[in-house]
Amino acid sequence: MNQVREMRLAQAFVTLADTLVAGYDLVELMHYLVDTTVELFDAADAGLLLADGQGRLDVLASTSERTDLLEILQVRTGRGPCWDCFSSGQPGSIPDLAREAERWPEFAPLALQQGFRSVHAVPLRLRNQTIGALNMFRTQIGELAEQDRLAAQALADVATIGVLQERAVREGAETEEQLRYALNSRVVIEQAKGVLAQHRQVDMDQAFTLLRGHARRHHLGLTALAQAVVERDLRPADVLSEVSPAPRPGIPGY
Amino acid sequence: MADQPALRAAQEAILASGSGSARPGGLCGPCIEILPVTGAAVSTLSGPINNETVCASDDVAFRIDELQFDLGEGPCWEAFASRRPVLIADLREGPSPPWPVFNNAVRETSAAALFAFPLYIGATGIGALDLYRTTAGPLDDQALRDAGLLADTLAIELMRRILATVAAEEAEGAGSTGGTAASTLSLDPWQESPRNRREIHQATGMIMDQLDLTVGAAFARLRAHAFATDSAVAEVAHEIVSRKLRFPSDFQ
Repeated sequence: MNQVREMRLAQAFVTLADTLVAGYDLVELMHYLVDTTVELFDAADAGLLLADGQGRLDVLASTSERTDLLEILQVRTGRGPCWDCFSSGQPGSIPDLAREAERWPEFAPLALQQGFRSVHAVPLRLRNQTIGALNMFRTQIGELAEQDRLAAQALADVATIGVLQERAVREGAETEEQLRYALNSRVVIEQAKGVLAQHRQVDMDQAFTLLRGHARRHHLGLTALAQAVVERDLRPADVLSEVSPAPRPGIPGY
Repeated sequence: MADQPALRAAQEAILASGSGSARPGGLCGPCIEILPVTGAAVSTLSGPINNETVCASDDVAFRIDELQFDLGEGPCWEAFASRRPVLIADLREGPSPPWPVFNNAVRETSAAALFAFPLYIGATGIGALDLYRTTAGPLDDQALRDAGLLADTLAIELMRRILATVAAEEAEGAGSTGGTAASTLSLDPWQESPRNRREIHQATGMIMDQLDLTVGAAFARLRAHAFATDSAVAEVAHEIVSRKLRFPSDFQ
């Protein structure tokens, strides 16, 4: 690897590190990664496959439509060098697509047809967890130089941390939100029942029936309606009792 | 002091407490079984109004929780805010903790030592584990470690129950349209204690309408009245909900 490329690689790491510290958009990060890969490793195109929480692969970023097609083919058929790289967690390559048509009956002919001669893949992996693969498509035959493969793997490692970190933050926030919702929704419904019971001089069960009837007629969530009453965005007099919903038989208090 | 298999068994009992293979005793039972304490209570904490005792091993444990909820101060709040255990080895003779009102009130119970542990998963705070003992004295290092590990296990089980409820309600659409859970017996489906603070929330709503107050101000009014008449907030709330007491005419 020459000096200019080493410098470009170092710049790429600085950019990635900066991105990870500040808030970042995952898709944008992955696009930066495939663009950098093309630039640094003499590849014609690059693509990135990422698994979701259920282990299904999807194409997250690619530098051109023609690689998109190849990635999608692999996702659909569950076969191909990138798929193998993801499922084994090991780097893989097809140094000469023309000689591998038997091993990859769907992938090799299509890749050749798109003008590629070799394919190389490195896993997005952190310890035992493989979450995707970074793929390089080249127009010349031959293995990727070991130095380049190591550099590509280093880029993929940074991207992996970016993906996992974003997921952890997102899932943490979702969990927090669900927890707060569960803890608060019941309280707010009880409070709204109190407001209505007092204002309308009805008992708590009747107040609940009022609340639920209004929510249904106006297609509102019960919690959201209760919240509006408690926050006094909705006056208790406006929670309307006419056209009561049919009582549900057999359930006391309805 | 618990040995490793006993601690493991207690953790497993906690994690199985919400399932079909649950042993009696729920979340609190395994804690008092292996820790050198008299009683335990587990609560969810979520701001000044919204707190519930999920389980309490006895009346004293329940009362210690209730006092802290009613007064808005005490070791469970401190543990929750600081994310560290709060250990009061001697309630009567020890140094005065920074919650004088709670301290006076809790001395009327049989508790002599109090230990509160925060329930957290990562950055997400869920509640607290309150332990008490009728004899004064510190928890030894082993008991402290065990209690910390049990608190972590409790946090996981509590979170699991709450998220399972959310998922079940979303699945049946109850969260958006039905809401049957809100009008059945238990306020929170994950709760084990038959006593809940539902009437407190209802009374808060009634006071909002009686005095034209925001929810926070109405709750403060309810709490102040309980404090002034030396009653539990739940008792005053019951009077209001059963319409034996109303603001403002009775007490202005």
